[in-house]
Amino acid sequence: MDFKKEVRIVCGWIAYFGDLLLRLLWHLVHVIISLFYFTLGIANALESYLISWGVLKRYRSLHVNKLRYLAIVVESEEAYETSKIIALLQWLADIGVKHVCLYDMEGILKKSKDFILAKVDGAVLYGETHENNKLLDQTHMTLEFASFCDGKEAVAKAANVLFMKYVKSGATDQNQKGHIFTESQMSEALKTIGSGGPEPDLLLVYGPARCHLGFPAWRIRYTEIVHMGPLKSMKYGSLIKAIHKFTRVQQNYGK
Amino acid sequence: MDLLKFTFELSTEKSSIAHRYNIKFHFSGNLDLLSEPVTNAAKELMAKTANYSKFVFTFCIAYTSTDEMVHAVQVACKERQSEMRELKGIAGDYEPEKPVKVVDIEKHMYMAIAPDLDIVVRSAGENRLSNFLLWQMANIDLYSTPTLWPEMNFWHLVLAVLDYQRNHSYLEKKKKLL
Repeated sequence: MDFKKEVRIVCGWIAYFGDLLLRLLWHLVHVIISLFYFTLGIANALESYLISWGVLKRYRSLHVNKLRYLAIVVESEEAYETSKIIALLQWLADIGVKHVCLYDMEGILKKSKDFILAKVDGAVLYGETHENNKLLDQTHMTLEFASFCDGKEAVAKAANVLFMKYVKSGATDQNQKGHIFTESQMSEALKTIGSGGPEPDLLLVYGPARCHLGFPAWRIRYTEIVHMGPLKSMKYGSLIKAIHKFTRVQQNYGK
Repeated sequence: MDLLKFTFELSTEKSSIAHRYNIKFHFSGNLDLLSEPVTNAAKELMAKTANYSKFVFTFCIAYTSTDEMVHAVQVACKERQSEMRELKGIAGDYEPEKPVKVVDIEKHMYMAIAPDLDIVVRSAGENRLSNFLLWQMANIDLYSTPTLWPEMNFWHLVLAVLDYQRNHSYLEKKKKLL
């Protein structure tokens, strides 16, 4: 009986140390991966400085007209850094980007909307540009502000708009076979409730992870999503590189 | 389509990978768009593997995320209309207004059968979602690898999981905000 008890104790210790060893191995693997990403970060930072100084020839010409609509997702904690946001928008204006959507999950940017519009030269709120005033569109940057409530909740509101129209039309299940709503009707309903902005061509994510943090799902069907790292370490060269890479992407389907 | 039908029929056989590894097959999408033989083969495969629970393999076919959202909205609205008719029958002309909510839409998604997403792996170095699982991707790690799909192996999956683990605590924090 004592021998069996001792065997159990020894097995317990082996399992404990085995588990500890595996955990140490797991941490070691993650340290190696973090070192890899750190080294990659330094290389990317160096490249971005070379791009900013105009050393790398291939980034000197940028066909920015291919970028019709740009979206920027910012981590909500960093969205309070309005000076960084304004600097980023000024860079985009200098590059020639005309239409930008700013998104953060909690709506911090929406609350700072007036301040940002006042500080960015020539910026106007999306939706306030008039179709007839094309000159305004050419010289001004339009800014759209979005948050999490423009995503799933907006789709639910649009669903209710479609539902009320459907009920008022008097249509019944017997009259309608198959689909009663179409994607274009959904797009119209989203526009009706004010969440029907255009689909961005490129979405830049400023945050710790490559995750769009709930940007309206309806609008990112074929959007290129690029992770730019934290906003506090944003670089002009990285922005140029992301836009340059986008202009060279080939999409075969969907557009 | 013939190749699809052949693949589904092959997977239904008793010696197939589905039965050997207890894999439940599920097909998500607008199956009405497929030809009848393919739809029948898919339904037979789902029926034959319905009792398995060790692994679940969800195959998105005739699927786009925007179609999934419209379909879910449609079903939710029809459900609400039926509820309103029942209440009208019970309570005369009374028609209470009960808006369709996000949770009503989510339960009718093609992918409602699947648990919450953790990682999306995009192959071939592409950075777009191509109208795939857009609704489900709010706080998900989007992992892009330059490796082409036919070349992907176990170690590529390990790298994707390690990348997810690096961002896990941040993504969990974001999910709790929803």
